Amino acid sequence: MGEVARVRTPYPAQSEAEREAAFQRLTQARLERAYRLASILLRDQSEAEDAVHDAAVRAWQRWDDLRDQAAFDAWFDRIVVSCCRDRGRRRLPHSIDLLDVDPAAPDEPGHLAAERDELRRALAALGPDHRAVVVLRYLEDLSVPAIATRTGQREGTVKSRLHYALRQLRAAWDAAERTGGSER
Amino acid sequence: MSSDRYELMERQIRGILLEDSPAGVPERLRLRIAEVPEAAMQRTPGSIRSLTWLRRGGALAAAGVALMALVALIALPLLSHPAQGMPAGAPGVYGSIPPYYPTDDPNSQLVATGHVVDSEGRPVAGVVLFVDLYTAPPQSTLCLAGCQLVSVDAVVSATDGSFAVHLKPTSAILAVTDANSGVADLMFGPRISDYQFTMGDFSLRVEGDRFTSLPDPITIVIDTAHPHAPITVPPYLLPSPLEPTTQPT
Repeated sequence: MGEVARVRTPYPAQSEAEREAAFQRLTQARLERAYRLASILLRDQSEAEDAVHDAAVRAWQRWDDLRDQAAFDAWFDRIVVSCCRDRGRRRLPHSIDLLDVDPAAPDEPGHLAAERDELRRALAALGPDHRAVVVLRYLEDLSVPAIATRTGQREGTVKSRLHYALRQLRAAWDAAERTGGSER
Repeated sequence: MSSDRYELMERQIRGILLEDSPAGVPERLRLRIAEVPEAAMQRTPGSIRSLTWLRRGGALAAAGVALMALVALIALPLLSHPAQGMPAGAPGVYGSIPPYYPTDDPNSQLVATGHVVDSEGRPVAGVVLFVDLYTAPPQSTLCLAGCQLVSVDAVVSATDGSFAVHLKPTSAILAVTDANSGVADLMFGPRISDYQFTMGDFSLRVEGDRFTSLPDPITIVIDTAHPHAPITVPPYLLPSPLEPTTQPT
């Protein structure tokens, strides 16, 4: 739940130009995934742009905290998730437009399309924290420890949220199947 | 659900998330990101440092406003219900916040108790915990038109670090954050049927519109390395200890 004090160790000094070059190289390389993650988490592309920009500003301000550039992706993702959470909280929670559901693919069988629509609604109805673990698990293909690193949560918390979210999704999926089955 | 069907659901989840993903990054965002270091360098290091102080000042100002709200929230209901509440204006600091605090609403329900400690486990007194309460239609699983924020409450950790949070019957979502910018960070979910929330050692279960069990105590750890020091509340602003109620005869 809380974080304990971390001890900082010295890192090699970089010139300003080197710092900026490294920041640009790593951030621009990660930008597409970061923007995708933010868009899915916030379900609003202009909000996602702002969240990623916030994350980049925060990353630059804390650049000296990143001692191992190989860890940049997880470090930056964590900042992005945090910025999305901050922005998500400023909006009214759970204001979900249920009409905002894309039609299913035209070549899908009818019952599968209905199940998919229900699944999409259920995904949209998940709370931001539960949604985040589902997105990191299924969109980014991350393991539970990797999700815990990016969300700043304990692994047990991530497992619990994933379990809860999947239970909700399964319920929607099963309900759609029952409805579809009775109509077929 | 069979494993094949479960795998199909997982594939569908992946497919939906990919479909909802934007194609590429807007050029505008790339340009904004490219300007980040330059924009920061246009400020002198001194001004960056002073921004930090500005932030701290802002946090202190926000805390001041919160304290005013706290005083209003605590003092006004108590003044209107003196027999149920704390003696107005009495000096002193709680040794431990009793579970039935606050007492202004007899229908409020205790939903959380806990302790605030620093990273070495020492109790931290005077940390302001902001509690946001939202309404939701009874039995509704979603706030279709958005959940309306109805009230902002705050509790302060006592000298032994303890605090208690109550939820009023009309409330649906409870969010608790500490005044130190997000180290303690709890978000309780919507008040819906068969809802369960677990975070670390904290667990909250909701059935229908009732909380079926009280959560385990929460421990909020304050990161002592965080730039914002815990806010110390002057003792005269803290709620005074409850005394045995003496009903006028």
